[in-house]
Amino acid sequence: MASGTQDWYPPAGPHQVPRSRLGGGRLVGVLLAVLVLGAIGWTVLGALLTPPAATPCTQRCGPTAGVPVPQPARYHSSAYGFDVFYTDPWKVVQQDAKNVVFQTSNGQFEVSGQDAGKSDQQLVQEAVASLPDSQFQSVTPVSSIRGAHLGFQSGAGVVFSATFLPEGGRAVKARIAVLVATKGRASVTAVGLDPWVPAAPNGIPESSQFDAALSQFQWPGQ
Amino acid sequence: MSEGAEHPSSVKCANCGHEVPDGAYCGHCGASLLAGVAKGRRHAYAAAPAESVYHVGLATTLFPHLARRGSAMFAWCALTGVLVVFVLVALNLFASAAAVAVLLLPVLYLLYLFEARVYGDRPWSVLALVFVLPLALGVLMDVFLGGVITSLALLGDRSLLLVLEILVWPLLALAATIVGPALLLGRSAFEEVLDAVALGASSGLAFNLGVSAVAVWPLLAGPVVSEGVPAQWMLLLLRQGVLMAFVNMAAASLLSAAIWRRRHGSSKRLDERWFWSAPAMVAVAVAARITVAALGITPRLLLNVLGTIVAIFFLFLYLRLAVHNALLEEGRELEIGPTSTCPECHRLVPTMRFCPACGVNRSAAPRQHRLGGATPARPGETG
Repeated sequence: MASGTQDWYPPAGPHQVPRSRLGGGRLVGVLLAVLVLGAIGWTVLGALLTPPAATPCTQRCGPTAGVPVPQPARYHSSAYGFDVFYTDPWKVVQQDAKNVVFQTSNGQFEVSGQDAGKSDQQLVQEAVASLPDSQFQSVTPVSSIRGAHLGFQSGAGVVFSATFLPEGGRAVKARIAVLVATKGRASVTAVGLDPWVPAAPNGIPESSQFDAALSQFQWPGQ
Repeated sequence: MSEGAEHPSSVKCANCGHEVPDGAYCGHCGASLLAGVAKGRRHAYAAAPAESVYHVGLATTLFPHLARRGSAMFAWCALTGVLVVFVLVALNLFASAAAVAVLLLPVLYLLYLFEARVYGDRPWSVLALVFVLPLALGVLMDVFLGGVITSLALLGDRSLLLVLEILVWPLLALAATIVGPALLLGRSAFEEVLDAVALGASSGLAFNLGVSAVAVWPLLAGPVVSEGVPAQWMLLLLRQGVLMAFVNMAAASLLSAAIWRRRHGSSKRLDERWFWSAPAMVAVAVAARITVAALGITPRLLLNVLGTIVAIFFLFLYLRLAVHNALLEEGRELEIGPTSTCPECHRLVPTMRFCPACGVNRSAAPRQHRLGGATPARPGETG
């Protein structure tokens, strides 16, 4: 059995200790140089690739007119009684009594109802807060939507910019339009998500389709 | 002990039955001479005996070929780099922070490969296979599959998206990280299990660099000082640049160790239980990768990050146990060599597979300090 273990083996002299190839100073120096150059290069490239700010629109700024809608299909909320009309290529990917999610050509469009009682601003903030923060980063308001409405009911609307990065995917810049309105006992929130296209109205390529769906929206009793 | 002391007496190791120099550990099989059996040295990780096997040390798990002080220095560099990322995010310099987060670990690991000379005498061919190749595969995967996943996620098409995110992506990622190490592990220069672990780790990190660089590249098109919630960006970059790098690194290391076990593994197993077998290692790597991918689709980023940290802890723990067992099993026949300096404890010891004083496996040292290149003691300085 072992005995007197460490005493058998003396420490090596300074010249016998294996020397590091890099050493602390060189390691930190090389690492720092690569990271600083990488960060500066990346930042400069980012600044160069940033597109110029869009010129503010002064006339005919609304969505462009779309093709007339033939025989729309309809989602009916059994809980709040509102109807959302849609046509191809939109299709329902998820629905229940209060909520419907459409897949659109480029993104998605969600309409959900809840009991009235909150202000429009609260409803907008709730809609943004409910976005999964594992996928949406830097959700920032870009502009308010003038004349926001759901059907014949006026409401409030805000366009947000965001970075969208799903698991295993690539980051894209996105635009999120949130519109809310309240009538009677129901508040309805509509959220449209599209990849950002600088040339499109509000950066949303399907803004005309979103607008068409909101124009045809029917409150209960209409 | 003073200079000119006598050689230590020999004792019979109760584990392997060899006559070995007296000490805390058997220089032949690494068993604790005090405990008597190899399985009884879980308190001293074979690659870094100062730590328990169950102590999931960042430094000794990530940089196993370095002695304690060297690996600690690399670990401190990694931690400081993460702090720099946080500072840049706090200043809303998201693009710069993304660059540092994505580059930090791969650059550090390349320096580690240089320091430990894991690549042996053919640095360029080895780096081409375990760094450039997985980097290119990572870029290609994210350009094509990542683009499809993003489009489907934007459309809200959950059915196909889930299959791609949770099954296809992790399995392809594992395949992409193991190609290079699998080609190298057939060479005689890479006979040690720690070589397999390091080659796998390098491949995993390079793959993650390729994926992350493409994933966050579109973020470039923004102002130098960006808008956003810094806390969210910290979590995002922590996951994308650091935690996912750890996951890819550890999973690829496990796969690489499984290949090593199939090719070089000792027929005399230290522990016959099935969960240390090569298929079990592959299963753990696949399960961990799928688990982390599933965590990635949870809506809350904080939950996602915390879950990933837990998964990494268990993945590292399993990796350490598997490596520890493999190092103790590697006990090939070896003569008791001349006295040399142990690269771990810096004591003058007989050159053997394990240091009789501290118990470190000599393969857990930079290539130039291993058995063949051990620093010999000068005549007259030892008995």
